[in-house]
Amino acid sequence: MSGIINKVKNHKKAAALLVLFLMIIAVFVISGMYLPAAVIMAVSVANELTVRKMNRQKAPFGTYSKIRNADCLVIGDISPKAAQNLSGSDKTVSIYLPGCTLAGAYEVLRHTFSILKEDGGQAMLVVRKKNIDKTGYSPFEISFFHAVTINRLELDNSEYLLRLPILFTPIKSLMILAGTRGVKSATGLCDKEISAFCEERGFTGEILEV
Amino acid sequence: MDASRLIFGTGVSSSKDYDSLKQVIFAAVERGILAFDTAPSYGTEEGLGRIFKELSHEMGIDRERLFIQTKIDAWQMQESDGNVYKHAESAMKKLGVSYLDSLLIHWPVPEYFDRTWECLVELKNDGIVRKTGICNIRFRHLEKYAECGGLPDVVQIERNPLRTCEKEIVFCHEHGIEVQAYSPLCKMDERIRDSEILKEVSQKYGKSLGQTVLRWHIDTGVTPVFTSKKLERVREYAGIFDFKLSREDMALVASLNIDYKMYLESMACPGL
Ligand SMILES: NC(=O)c1ccc[n+]([C@@H]2O[C@H](COP(=O)([O-])OP(=O)(O)OC[C@H]3O[C@@H](n4cnc5c(N)ncnc54)[C@H](OP(=O)(O)O)[C@@H]3O)[C@@H](O)[C@H]2O)c1
Repeated sequence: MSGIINKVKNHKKAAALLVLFLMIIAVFVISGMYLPAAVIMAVSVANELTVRKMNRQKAPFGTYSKIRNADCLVIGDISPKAAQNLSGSDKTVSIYLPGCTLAGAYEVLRHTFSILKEDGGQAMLVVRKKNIDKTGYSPFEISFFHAVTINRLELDNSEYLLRLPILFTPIKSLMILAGTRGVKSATGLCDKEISAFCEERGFTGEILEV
Repeated sequence: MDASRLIFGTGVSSSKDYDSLKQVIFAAVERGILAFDTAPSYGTEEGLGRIFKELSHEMGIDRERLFIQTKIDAWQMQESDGNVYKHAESAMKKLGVSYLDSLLIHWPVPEYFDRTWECLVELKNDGIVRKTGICNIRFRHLEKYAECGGLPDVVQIERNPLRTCEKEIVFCHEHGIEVQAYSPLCKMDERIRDSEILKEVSQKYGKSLGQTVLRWHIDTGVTPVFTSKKLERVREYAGIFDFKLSREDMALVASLNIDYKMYLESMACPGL
């Protein structure tokens, strides 16, 4: 009996999500904002694929990732192509986080640094000058976070919100692209803390303001 | 030397439904494998508890002959702020035992590690846990723990021919720490399955490739924690105690090392 009730509830939930999805699409089309929306969607999907590739457990039936022991990990406000040029190595993994703060990029580094080779790797955090001292995490960054981090930082832990920010936090996502953003508190960071973190783990860390 | 040197894992790739799990575990026990690894996140603690009872009724295998190991998961460390006593108790209740042979920290989340470790040491002092351990650590962690005088009894790390962990193993052996290798076959990754080197070494001993790799772990002083859903494979892997690899062949197996890591630690344990 409870199985049937759950099924009905799930169907209702799916229908409500579909309607919401169509309404949001309609708003974007009518307001002419479909281009930024498409960009955000593409970034979200690319990040999700990176997470899946990096974390086998999330995609047990997918192709097991062979991306390991990278020379360089570039995280932040920089396109994958530019990141590749910046690092100069073929074994570069890049994570594009539009409008990220230093705190956001650093937290993503804490989650992804194991992709680097064990000794002598390099991490680059790329942050726009105007965002360097800002605090907070966007859904782009949160999609990389472990549940323990989400709890520790008291962030919104909605699966949908994390996977497709443009659909579920459209205003915030567009604000990120426009350069203004809603913020959540994050502790202040200094370069020293980040470089000590990297050094202890056997790789070098660099913060680039753009 | 016998199959008691193998640990049967009940993690991601193992059978999850009760009947299949019972079948493979009975097959393992029939071949002398008496050590089992679980964790709350595997969802097998309760099932194992039932199976252990049935092992006692149907095969006369009592608790003392078994080696039962479980773990403290990251969320448990966080939820209790490291006071994991109640989580150990709940694991014992599920497993139907009054003590644990070994309790490991699954992922040493830095924010909650110190208190969790203290708690594990207390559990050991109270006789509730026989061995304490930590999974997923590297050489730098071991060095740090040694400085603080807090070395574990057991270390469980991802180790297989694609990732030989020389530094960690030398350190552990020098300090009397038992090393367990999880994913000892790297889930039979094609770089292991198709390796000409491994095929040659296996043929030389008339053994299967999987048996050869498991034997390499034993011969290098490491206890493999393997799993399979297949009864035949469990039986096959229990049959590795009638041969021994030569030094040269051990070196050949280790020559596959490329420091490949299946489970990215920082994704599962941020800031590790
Ligand atoms: N501490 C930790 O963080 C951690 C992490 C991961 C795992 N573990 C522990 O380690 C245990 C083993 O881990 P694992 O499953 O990754 O290790 P594994 O034993 O290396 O891999 C098991 C997988 O390999 C397959 N396999 C074995 N031999 C094969 C062959 N000859 N041909 C094709 N496939 C073959 C099995 O399939 P079949 O079922 O078809 O035989 C199974 O899917 C887990 O159960 C768990 O207890 C601990």
